[in-house]
Parts: sequence; C-alpha cells; structure tokens
Amino acid sequence: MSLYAMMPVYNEADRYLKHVLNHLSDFVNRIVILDDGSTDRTPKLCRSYDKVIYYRNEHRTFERNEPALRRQLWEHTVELKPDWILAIDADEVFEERAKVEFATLLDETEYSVVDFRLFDFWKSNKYRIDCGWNPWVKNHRMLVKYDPSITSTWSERLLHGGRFPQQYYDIPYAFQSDLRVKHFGWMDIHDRQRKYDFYIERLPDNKHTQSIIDPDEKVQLEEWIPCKTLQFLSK
Amino acid sequence: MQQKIVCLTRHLLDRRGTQIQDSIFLSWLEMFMRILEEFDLELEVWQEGNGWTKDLPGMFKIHSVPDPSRDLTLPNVNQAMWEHSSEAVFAIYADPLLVYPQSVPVSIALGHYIPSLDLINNEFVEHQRKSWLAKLRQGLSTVDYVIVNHTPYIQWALASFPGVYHKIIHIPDCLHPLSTSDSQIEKQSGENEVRLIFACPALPQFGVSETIRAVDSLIDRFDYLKFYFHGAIPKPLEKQMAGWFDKRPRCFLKTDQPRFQFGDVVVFPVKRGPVPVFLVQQAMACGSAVVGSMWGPLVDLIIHQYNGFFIKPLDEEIYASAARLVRDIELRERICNHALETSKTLKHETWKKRWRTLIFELVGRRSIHI
Amino acid sequence: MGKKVVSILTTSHFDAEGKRCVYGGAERYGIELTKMFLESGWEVNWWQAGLGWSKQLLPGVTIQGIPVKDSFAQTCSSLNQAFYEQADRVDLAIYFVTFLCYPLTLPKSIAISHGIFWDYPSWESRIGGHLQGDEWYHRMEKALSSPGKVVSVDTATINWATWHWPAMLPRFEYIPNFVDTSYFHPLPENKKDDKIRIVFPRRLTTVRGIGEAMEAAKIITEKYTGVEFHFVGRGHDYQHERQMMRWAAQSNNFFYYWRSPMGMKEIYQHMDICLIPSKSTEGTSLSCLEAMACGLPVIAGNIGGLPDLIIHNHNGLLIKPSAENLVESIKQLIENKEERQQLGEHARNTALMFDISIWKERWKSVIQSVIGEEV
Repeated sequence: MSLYAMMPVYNEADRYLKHVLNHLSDFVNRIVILDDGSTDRTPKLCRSYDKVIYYRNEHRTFERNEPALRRQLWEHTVELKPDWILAIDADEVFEERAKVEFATLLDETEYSVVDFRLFDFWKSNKYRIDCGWNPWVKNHRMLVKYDPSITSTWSERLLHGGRFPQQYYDIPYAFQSDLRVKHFGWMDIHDRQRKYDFYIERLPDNKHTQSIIDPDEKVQLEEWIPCKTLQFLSK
Repeated sequence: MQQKIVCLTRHLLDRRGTQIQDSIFLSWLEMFMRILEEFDLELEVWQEGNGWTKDLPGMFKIHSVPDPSRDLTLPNVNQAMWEHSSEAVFAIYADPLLVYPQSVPVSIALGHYIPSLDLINNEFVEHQRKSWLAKLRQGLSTVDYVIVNHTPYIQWALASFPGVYHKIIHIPDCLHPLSTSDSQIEKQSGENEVRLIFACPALPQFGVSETIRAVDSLIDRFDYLKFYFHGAIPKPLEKQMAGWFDKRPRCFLKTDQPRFQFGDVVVFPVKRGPVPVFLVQQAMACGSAVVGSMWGPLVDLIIHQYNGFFIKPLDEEIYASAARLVRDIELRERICNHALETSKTLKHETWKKRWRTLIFELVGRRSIHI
Repeated sequence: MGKKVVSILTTSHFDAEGKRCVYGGAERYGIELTKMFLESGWEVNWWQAGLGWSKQLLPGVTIQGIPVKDSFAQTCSSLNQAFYEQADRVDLAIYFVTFLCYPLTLPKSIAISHGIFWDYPSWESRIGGHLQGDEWYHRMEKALSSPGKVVSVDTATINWATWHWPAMLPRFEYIPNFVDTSYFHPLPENKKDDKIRIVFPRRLTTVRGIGEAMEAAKIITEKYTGVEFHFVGRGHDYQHERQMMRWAAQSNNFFYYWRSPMGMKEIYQHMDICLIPSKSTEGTSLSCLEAMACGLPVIAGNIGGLPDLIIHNHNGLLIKPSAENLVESIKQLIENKEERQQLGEHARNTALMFDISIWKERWKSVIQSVIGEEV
C-alpha cells in the first residue's frame, strides 16, 4: 500500500519544515509539496529530500482562495495514483510512535477515511484545551484512501474548506485513529499575532479568532501525555 | 462429639421414604460427604415426607416432615429443621426457595437448577407468582453464599435479581470419583454399527418421549444404528416400554448402569429441571458425543459442535443432531476426541479444594455467632 | 422472477443525522449479515431512526432514517410502527434488536438478540424505575413472541427468556457469533523477546471489568517486571481515554491505544494472554472469538455468552472477574508456559467451530425455516 503525503508550504524554512520532512520521510512513500510562492529557502530545503515531489505557484493563492490551493495540491497528488493520501501541513507532526505504527492504518479494508486528534501546542510541551481549542473532542480528517471512481467537488468556503474533496467528508465510516498530531502553528507568539491579523480581517466576530490572543490567564494548557511505541511492530 | 451440618432438600426419597427420588442430588451428597468427613462434620438431611426418619447406612440420617405447600417452598420442614439446628455449624439449602421463611445463622444455598415459575403449579395466579419470586429473592439474599454448579445460573440471577452477584460462588461439579474407574476402560466402538444411548430415568423432564419418537425415525433410516435405554422406568410405564422394545430388534432395554464406552452418541434432552451432570460428564469422559439441552451445567461442559451438540429438547432436533453424528464418522470422531479432552478439566481435586476453602470459612463464621 | 427482498430494522446504525457510524460489534454483525444476503442474490434495505435521510450502507444497499423519536420503556414502538407501514412487500423482515418487534411484526420475520443487556445493578434506574421495568417486561414478552424466529447469539438469553416464558423455546435459534478464522490466525513463533504480553481488548467500561483489569495489572507487574499489559479499546468519552493514557504513562509495563476491528489482528498475534473479564452485558463476544482464533488463551468472566465459548482450563479460564481472581489466573498462565500454549492451541481449535462460513450456513437454514424455501 503506497502512502503519499501532500503538503502546501509558504516560507517555512525557518519554522518546522525540516522537522516535518524528516518525520514524514520515516513512514510515507512520497511527499507532494505545493509551494505557494515562498520567498525564502523553502524550495531548496524541500528539494533536498529524496521523497519530495515539488510543485510551485509563482503567486500566492492561499490568502485569496484556500480551496483552490488545496484542490491544486490534490490534483497533483492523485496524478501519481497513490493508494492512500495524507494531508498534512508544514507545522504538523505525528507523535513518535507513528513511525512504527502508521503502516497498520494502511492495511485497513473496512475504512477508507481516517480522522485524527490534533493538539495545538502553545508551549514546548503543552497544548491548549479551553473552549474551541479542546483537542479531544474534534476529529480532523487527514488520511483517505484514494478512490479514482469518485468525481471530486470542493467546498466553496474560502476558509477552512477542508483538505480533501467534499465526497471524502461524506463517507460515514471513518476510523478515528489513536495517533495524535502535534500542531506547532500557534506555539510562536509572532505566528499567533500574524494568524490573528489574518483571521480577524476575514472572521471579525468569531469567538475562536478572538481567543487566539487571549491573555495567559484565560488560556488553559495541558501537559502532553507520552505514549510508548509498540516496539514489537517494528519491522 | 462430631459437629453437624444440616441440609434441607425437597424429595431425596419419595414422600413415604420407600425409594430414591432424586438420584442426581443423592450422588452429589455422596461426593460432598467425603469432604465433610475431613472436617469431622456429620450430615443430617431434612425433607418433605409423612413423618419418617431413616438412616441411610454409611451416609446420613434423613428426617421427613409433612408439608402441603405447593409453591416449591417447604415452610414446615424449614421450621422443623431450624428448631433442631441450634448446634449445627451451618445449613445447606438445596435451592434458594427452601430458605423460606428463615435460615439458620450460617447457611448456604445450592444453585443446581432454576424452576420456571409457570411450570411449578397449575393453579398459580399473578399475585402468587409475585410472592413466589419474592421468596426466591429472599432466599438468594438471606444466605451467606449461593453455590452454583453452572454459570447460566449466575447469568439468570444477574438478569433477574441484580445485586446478588457478590453472594454467588461458582464451583463446577467434577467427574464423580465413583465413576472415573469406569471411564478408564478404553472406548470400544462397534465395527459396523453406531450405538445411541439414553441414560436417564423414563420421566418427562428428561425428554424420554421426544427421544423415543426420534429414535423411531432414526432406526428406520439407519440400519446400522442400535439404541440402548439404560434409565430407570416407573412401574406404570414398564409394560408399555417393554412392548415398544420388543417390536424393535435393534433397540435394547437395559437395567444396568450405562456403559458409555460402548456408546457413540448419548442424548440428554433434559427439559427444565436438574441436569444429570455426573452422567453427562461420565459420557464425555468415555469419549461419547453428547447431544444435550442448552441449559444447566451442559452449557459449561459443551461448546456447540466442538465437543458435543446443543439442542432444544424437541423430537426433530434430537433426530437431526443424532442423524448428523451417526452419518458423519469424521465429525463424530472429532467431537468424541474433544469431549474426552475437555472432560479432563473436571478434576476432583479442584472441586475438593474449592469446597474445603468455603467450608473452612463457614466454620469460622459460625464461631462468630456463638 | 425478481430478487427476494429483505428489510432490516435497527435503532441506529448511523447517528440521527446519518453522518457518522460508531462501528462496534453490532454494526459489524449488521454488515456481515447484509453481505450474506447479497451473496445469496437478495436485495437488502435497512431502516433506522433518523432525521428523514436516505443513504448507502453498502453499495446497492440503502438505509432510511425514519424521523421518529421515542424510547419509552427502552423500546421504540413508533419506529416499529413506521417501519410496519412503510416496509411493505418484503420477503423477510429482520428486527435487528429484539424489542424492535414491539408492537407489530411483519408476517415473515426474524428478531436478533445480541445478548442480555439488562443484567447490571443500575438497569432498573436507567430504565426509569420499577414501573417502567414492568412495562419493559411486558413489551419484551410481546416482542419475543411475535417474530417467526428469534436468533440468539448465546444460550444465556435463551435460558433467561424460557425461564420467564417456557413456551417460547421452539422460537429460539442459537447462532453464536462469528470469526473469520482465515483472517484472524496465530503467527508462527515470532517472539523477539521474552516478554509476556497481556491484552485487554475492550471498551474502557465498568461492565467490561476495566477497573479489575487495571488493579490486576498493577499487582502483577510489581512481581513480574517482564509482563506488559496492553489496554486496547476506546472509552465512552474522551475523559476516560485521557485518564487511561495518563495511567499507562506511569509505567513502562502499561500501554494504552486502540485499533480498528480488523487492525486488532496484528495486536493479538503479538500477545500471549487475553482478558475479557466482563461483569455483565455480554454475548458471544467478537473480541473473545478473535483472540481465540489468534491462538490466545482467554481469561473470561463467567457470564453472558462467554461460557458458550470457553471451557475452564481447556481453552481458557472462566472466572468471576474480581481483581484477585484475575491476578490468580494471570499468574497461573504466566508461570506455566506449556499450559498457556496448550490452552491457546485449544482456543484456536474451538474458534474454528465459530468460523463465519458456519455462521452463514446456520443463518441460511433459519431463514429457510421462516420463508419456507431455500436461500
């Protein structure tokens, strides 16, 4: 079973990209990257990985039309006819044991979509759990079995339209994996401010947007709970 | 002086005390007495009857007390036993209904079978059923422990009277020590014949009519099948039974103990009532394929189509299962082997060890009450 | 001649909105049953309570969400009646849960009992007290008396029901649950270390004996440092899962994670002992059968359908699932490798008698007896 990761990137060289690419290289077959017009060393970094297949837009699409970008990335990926597709961002990694245990998900015959819990790290070993940030109650569809017979359509929402075509969200049998995803996108205070500025312009009345810049006393954090790897599964 | 244990049962002997009525419980008591002897405890049995007292030589004394009660409780006998038990170490009630109206200070009830409330009295009406259930519940909750010999009893109690789980102890019966020597004899199958055995008394509760009707069709269909009837036959049935067997040359009416090692298939289509657990175990230990009802201790002994067959005690089901086993030698052999293998788990030592632990605790409890 | 049609009524294969399916034992049963009908050339449709949607359950199989909402006395009589009105002209109706037969039943019908679920102490308060309990009995009796056959996954349900209502006996058919023994199978000796691994492959709920199993794990690992405990199953809510994750993080010997039903295979294949210490609400557990098929000796609670699968000391151990009893039984199996392997071997042999192919044949013969012709 082949597993291709697909990832949009934009000026990631000084963020988490290296970490993410090292991590993915351990358990995926290919990493399809769509560079949304980076102006830093991102292209060079991407190309230094054997598994990366690199595509690039000269002008930034994300800020105008996220679904268009996601769609473009999807189309590049499915051209390669992978069995499974993992949609992941350049600031996300799975917990350590995924390296050994991810393969189990791909043997699955009863499920064709897999959801994960995503933990928004606020500090190096702590994630946020208050209100809409509670990672335990949300499912993020990040892994799908590619089905060429499906005619894809995409959500028209400009923000948070999803990482996959709409049809993959309509599949009711979803497996919710116990492998947790660490999301580092909020960890740096400058990132938080930048994202806040971006979203407040587009979703000014949204409570969740406002909570991005909550003062420390309003932010509830929880320490990461380590999980041991099932060593007996390592090949 | 030897200390005593009292046991209340319904009809170990018949009302008049002339013959054994409950042979299943009697063999259990026989085995149980050996453990009591280790503790230097003596057994005294109380039952319903017209006032006689008997001494079963080498076993125990039985007292009988008349009791007209028609709901399976025996308040008169219960009371009489209570009055004579001030020095008893503990009491055993053969089933929880017999605990009504009161139990001696330290007591256990046995859970060997569960009477069905629609079958105990033809004239029962709703409020009597309710009061009967209350007595049953009282029995389960009054004694120190309910010792069950099969797990379906546990499930029944859980689903019917939630909250009694802590009272229940499961001590499965073992292969009866008196029958084990018999099972040592190697299996002797007929060359060109298959032998079917019925080993219970000719009473409705053991599915005798269903078996006879099924056998009628079976011997018609398989000319290499022989049928052996080993159970006791009540007097009024003797003539009729003999006539039936006379007309069928491949059917044999035997008066001796069943010889399971000469049998291939043994049927126990027991209806609601005690399962002759020792006979079932013995049949399996002799490597026979048992076809039995899916309740009582049979559930713990048999895994359907692995080491025996589960059936409902109906003509067509006895027929269908027996026919499959008669026809299919490979299946029969596999089931017989598994039966032999699984019967090895029924160790007398394990049974004794569990009872010893329990009796030790009960003796200790008694000392608190003194 | 057109295809034969079967309609299956259930409570909730999908959630009320039809968006998600919590894929547990009952859902798997439903899918296998559907596949069996499809293989035999039938047309299958499903019905459940839902907000008026219609969707695909499997290719070619629709499921309708009937917009009714009621569960008085733990039954669904308006769902039953809506189904009765709408699912006309079928060759067979299957009531996926017994109480769905109340109050009306289509002429050719089969109900399924997945095991006793009213055997835990708080059942009466859950159902709404004593009076609703009486009403539930009344409805249960009606429900069990009306379909052509009642398929029970264990003998315990048949025992209980025929104790209450002796005349129902002929109506019951015992069809124990299934396991695909060609998929779930032991691996040839594959040990890379000398650890003994013990798996608890169930939901983290009290009826499954989670508390007792955790207590036993603590006691055992204090004495046997080379023993690992793997708790593999989801909680009813995330708090349980989080708590369990924290608990497992305390010790190098404890593991907590979960797998999809089919993903359990590779877990079982690396384990040495399986715990199914259920205290109530148990049928012929699929997990138990799958562990057995993978050659594991199972230490099981002595209730529900588990005695239908396990013979004490032959292919597993059947115990009253207290922490002390679990500790005793686990010790017995840790210290006797030969016994452990022997029980596991017998467990595999037993599981073969529950292979899904046998399950399908048994079902076909029950269907035949209800519709009066060969499937």
